[in-house]
Amino acid sequence: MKKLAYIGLLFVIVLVFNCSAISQTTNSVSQTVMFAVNRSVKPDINTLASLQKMDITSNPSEAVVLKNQMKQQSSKVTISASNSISSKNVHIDLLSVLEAKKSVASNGTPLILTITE
Amino acid sequence: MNNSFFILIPVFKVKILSAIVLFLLAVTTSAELRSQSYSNTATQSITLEVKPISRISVAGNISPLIINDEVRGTDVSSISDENTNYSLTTNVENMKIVASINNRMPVGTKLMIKLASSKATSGGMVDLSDATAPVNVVTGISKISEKDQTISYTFAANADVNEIPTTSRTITLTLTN
Repeated sequence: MKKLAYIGLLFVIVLVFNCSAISQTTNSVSQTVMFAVNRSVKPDINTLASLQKMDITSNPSEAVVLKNQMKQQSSKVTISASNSISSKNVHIDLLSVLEAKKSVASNGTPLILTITE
Repeated sequence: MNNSFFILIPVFKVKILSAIVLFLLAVTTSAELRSQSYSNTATQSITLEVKPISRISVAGNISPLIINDEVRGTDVSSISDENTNYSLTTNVENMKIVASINNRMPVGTKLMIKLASSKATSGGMVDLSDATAPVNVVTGISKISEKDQTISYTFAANADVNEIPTTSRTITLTLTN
């Protein structure tokens, strides 16, 4: 029994050394990749849609809220508006209009909002 | 007088014989010495073995892959890095390079890798996003050495992915058979 144990141990030792020789055929390296997504917030369509229902000149406080929301959303987006579907579009800077508290469109006139970059 | 002469003859004969023997002895010894100097050799036994060797290494630093804004008119934004390269050497046939990622990429994003190779077959742009099990990136590597081959990483995000804080993944490249 002891002889068998010694033979087994010898076999294991030989196997270990052989395995170390075989492992030279496999070699690994590692790299660390860092990534992130940091996009500006897109204009909230609901915020813009609410402009259609609002008389900005008569609700200056709400206009300020909307103005601040649009400023936060994107500095690269220009929101323009035209006061008629059929007429020639006149693009105006809505943010500037809001700041100036000027009327965007007459009551009942469809307001088309165009978002451009 | 004549008696003295005849007594001396045997003495002369012994002396001549001695001289002849000495001469022959000298000649024989000289020949033997000369023959021995041309047959002096020694041998050594040397055992030679070349074990299988395969090594891969990388160099350079990967810049952070940060997507800031989507490109107008596209559904996917991407950014790439080619600041790292790899070198390898192997004396084994039919080796390949496989790549794996430690964790899956966030939903809506992809991480791709491309290893250039001048002597083997590159797998082109390989998607590692879900490659927690190794995938082939270079195949057909047999008894070659390659130096400073470019590694390209590309990170892509769908348009509906707004924000992902800076995160990292570990990519493991293995040269194996």
